[in-house]
Amino acid sequence: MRKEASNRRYLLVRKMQRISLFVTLCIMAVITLYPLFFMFVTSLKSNIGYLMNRLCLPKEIYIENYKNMLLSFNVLIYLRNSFICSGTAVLTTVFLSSLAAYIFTKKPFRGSKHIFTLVIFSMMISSQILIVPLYQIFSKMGLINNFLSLIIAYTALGLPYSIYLLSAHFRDIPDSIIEAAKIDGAGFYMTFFNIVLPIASTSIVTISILNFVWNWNELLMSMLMLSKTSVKTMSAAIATITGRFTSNIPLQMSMLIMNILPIIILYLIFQKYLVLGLSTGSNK
Amino acid sequence: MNKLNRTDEIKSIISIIPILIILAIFLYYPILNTVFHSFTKWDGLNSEFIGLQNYINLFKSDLFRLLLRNTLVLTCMVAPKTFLSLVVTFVLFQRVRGWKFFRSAFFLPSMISLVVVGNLFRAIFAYRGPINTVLSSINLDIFAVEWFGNWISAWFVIFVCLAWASFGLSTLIFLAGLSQIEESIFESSKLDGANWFQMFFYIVLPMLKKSIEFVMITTLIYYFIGIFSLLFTLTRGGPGYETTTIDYLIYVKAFQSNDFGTASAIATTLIVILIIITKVYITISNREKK
Repeated sequence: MRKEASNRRYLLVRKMQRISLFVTLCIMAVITLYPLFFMFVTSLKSNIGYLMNRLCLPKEIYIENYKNMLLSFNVLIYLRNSFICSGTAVLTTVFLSSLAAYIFTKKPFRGSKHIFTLVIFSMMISSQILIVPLYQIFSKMGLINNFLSLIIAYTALGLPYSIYLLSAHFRDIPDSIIEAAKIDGAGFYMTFFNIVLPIASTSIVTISILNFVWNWNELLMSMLMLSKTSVKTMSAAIATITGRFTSNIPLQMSMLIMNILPIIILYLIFQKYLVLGLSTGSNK
Repeated sequence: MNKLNRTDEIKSIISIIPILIILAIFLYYPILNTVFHSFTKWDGLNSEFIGLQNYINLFKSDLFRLLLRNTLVLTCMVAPKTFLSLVVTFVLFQRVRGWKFFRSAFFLPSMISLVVVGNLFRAIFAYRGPINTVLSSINLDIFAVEWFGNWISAWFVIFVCLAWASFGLSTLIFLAGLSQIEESIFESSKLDGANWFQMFFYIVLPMLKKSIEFVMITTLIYYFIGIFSLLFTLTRGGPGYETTTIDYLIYVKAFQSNDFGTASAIATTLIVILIIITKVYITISNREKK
């Protein structure tokens, strides 16, 4: 009898603990998501509506902000520019970094270890450090206000981390598969395209998403290299244009929403890959 | 077989060369160029060698003390953020119902551009923004300050932004580290009557030591080189230079005062700091391996 009672008490305590944990998590989730909720809700208010009611849901939905953004602020052009730059840079970065990771992990040559170390060390190089000479190189090449400048810069900056992460994944591919392919007569590139890339497709998707998000979110280089309206990216547009309507918070918020929408969609589709890829790099 | 290996090696070298050329022109050359120009007076066109003058001017200026303080503030922000993520990780690891949803919710802000975060929190912490509205409505008017008007509250807002935008990522890394700890350790400690605090401090913290080091170092490096877009949209380094960090100052010197020599000297200083941090980290993690 006594044992049963203590057992029941134990179960009750466990249950209370679970409930308190759940409540804690809910509170944290509300705090975390509130800023996003605020951004969305505010973007559906008129400026006067916001001034009268800063916190709660709007009394009536006001979509003029979005209309304004699309019709008078060229947002579609900025979004297109961001897509072109981020997307192209992702393709080049991923192709080059997977080739490099393949060479470093599966087809090393004399001295490749030192080169790998050098590449890994350049992970900590940021755009601020490079920006002045880079700007000069591109202006000498006549590439300022040309998408190519940004695409090249993003590729160069994306390479070190991508090579690092992909190498960590490629190392898990057994050498015996590579050897077997060679005995079957598959050449250097055939092994890369037909064996390594398909096996590593998950990590390739991960690194593509990560690079896309970084490029999409980057500000300094896009702001300086693409300053004309016709080539401006969305980040640069937000940073430079929102100053024009500081007093109209709802209008600003609608622009922010349009910037994060593609990223959130990507996130919802590819979450699994991101969780996987980001947790791998840290434990090697 | 040997001949085959030889042709593979040649193909490796030929294929890696274009990649190295890209890195050399757009990554390594700019670094060397920056280091070189840090010893010159440079207006973008003509440079004149002036030795260490840029560094001397920088270290002597009033700005330098402010810069040092701001770097220190940034460094101090690493520990609380890491601790926050650890606590969240611990709660998530109890695997209550829906923990995967919560993990996704916490990670979502990490995807969002700091440009957006900056603009968003400037609105939220604006003088007549939602935070101050709430504070006045519950009679805490004293705290409803002009958040960007003095350095302490401005840095507080920056801390909130950075913590919000990055605790989810560290949580993810800690969860991956925890999943390598055997579940049985937790179960047996529970049976032995260990409470949450004991489990957190005596099991989770020691076993996650490696992940914690990794997260703290990457966070620190990120705070030093990655928050330009946040400062640009949130405080513009102000009031005055009160929230200007090293990487923000590079931008200010180069593109607002056209003082490329000084900008290069600051960038070189930053490179040196980063190399030191990385070296220390590598030394620590190598010593533990032995």
